[in-house]
Amino acid sequence: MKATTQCEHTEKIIGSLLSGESPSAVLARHETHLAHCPVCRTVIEQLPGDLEQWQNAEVPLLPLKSLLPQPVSEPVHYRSIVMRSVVTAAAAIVAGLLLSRFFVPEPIPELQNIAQDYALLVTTDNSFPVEFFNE
Amino acid sequence: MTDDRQLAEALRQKDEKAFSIFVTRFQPMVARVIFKITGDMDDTNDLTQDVFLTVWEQVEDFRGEAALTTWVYQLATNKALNHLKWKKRRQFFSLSYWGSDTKNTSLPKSLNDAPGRLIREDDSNAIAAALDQLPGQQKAAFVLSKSEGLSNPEIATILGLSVSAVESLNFRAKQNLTRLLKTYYQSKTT
Repeated sequence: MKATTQCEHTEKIIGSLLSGESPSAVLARHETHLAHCPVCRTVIEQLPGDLEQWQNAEVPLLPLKSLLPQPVSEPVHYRSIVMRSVVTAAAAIVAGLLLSRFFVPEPIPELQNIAQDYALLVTTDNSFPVEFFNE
Repeated sequence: MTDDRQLAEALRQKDEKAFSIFVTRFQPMVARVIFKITGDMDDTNDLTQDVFLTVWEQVEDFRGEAALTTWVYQLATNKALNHLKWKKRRQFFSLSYWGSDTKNTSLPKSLNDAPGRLIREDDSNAIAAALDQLPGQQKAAFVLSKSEGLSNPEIATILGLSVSAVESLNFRAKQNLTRLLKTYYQSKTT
């Protein structure tokens, strides 16, 4: 078997087939050798088919629609988006400040009562720890 | 609109109908060349789209000195070769490249991983597997010559090389393929 794997005809046969020579012509030229060389027989049996299959291979195509030019969408101007956000935020802050100046909330009766009770407690009850608050 | 010159002129006018005629006519050729060079179906789809986008955007660059077919071959081959270079660079800088022994292989890859399986589902194709081992330009020259049936001067125009450089590329491609295929068929026999 070692003699066949070192066969000097194999490269010649492959080279001829790759150059486009017809398998029958190659077969005729190497007929005597092919009778006793299994490697070269495998080459002559399989390479023409492999070559033909590779040459005629059909590649699946993409749908036509995926290759047509897509309508160009409006360009996004990121700088104007940032500017618009900054101006909106600044306007909101100014509006908040103006509202706080002119809008005085009405006193809540419950809170007023609590404040009065606290003032009474501090001034009348000696046991109340006033120091705590003074600190 | 059968004439290439008419078609190119209509493309320059951004005629969408002409572009769909162009895509229908050239897509099989573009996809076939890219697939045979890259050996990957996903890459083929991406690069095919890229070729047609380039045609739509840069049709003004086509001056009509060469045939429209030659220009399209040029775009497809260049995209495929640039993609192979990019892939090789990315592979070189990946950690797995230095951890594996694939960088030193001189034999066809495992046939289950070979691109040929996309051509024939039940087995793989020896030519596709062996071709995958060749350098990009040798691969492109062999594909354009043996699969597309182009002459050496035509291939020289497409690859931007001299005719003698293309002859040399084809010679070396055939030499390397012979060596790889010999190993492959020997392994199938023993």
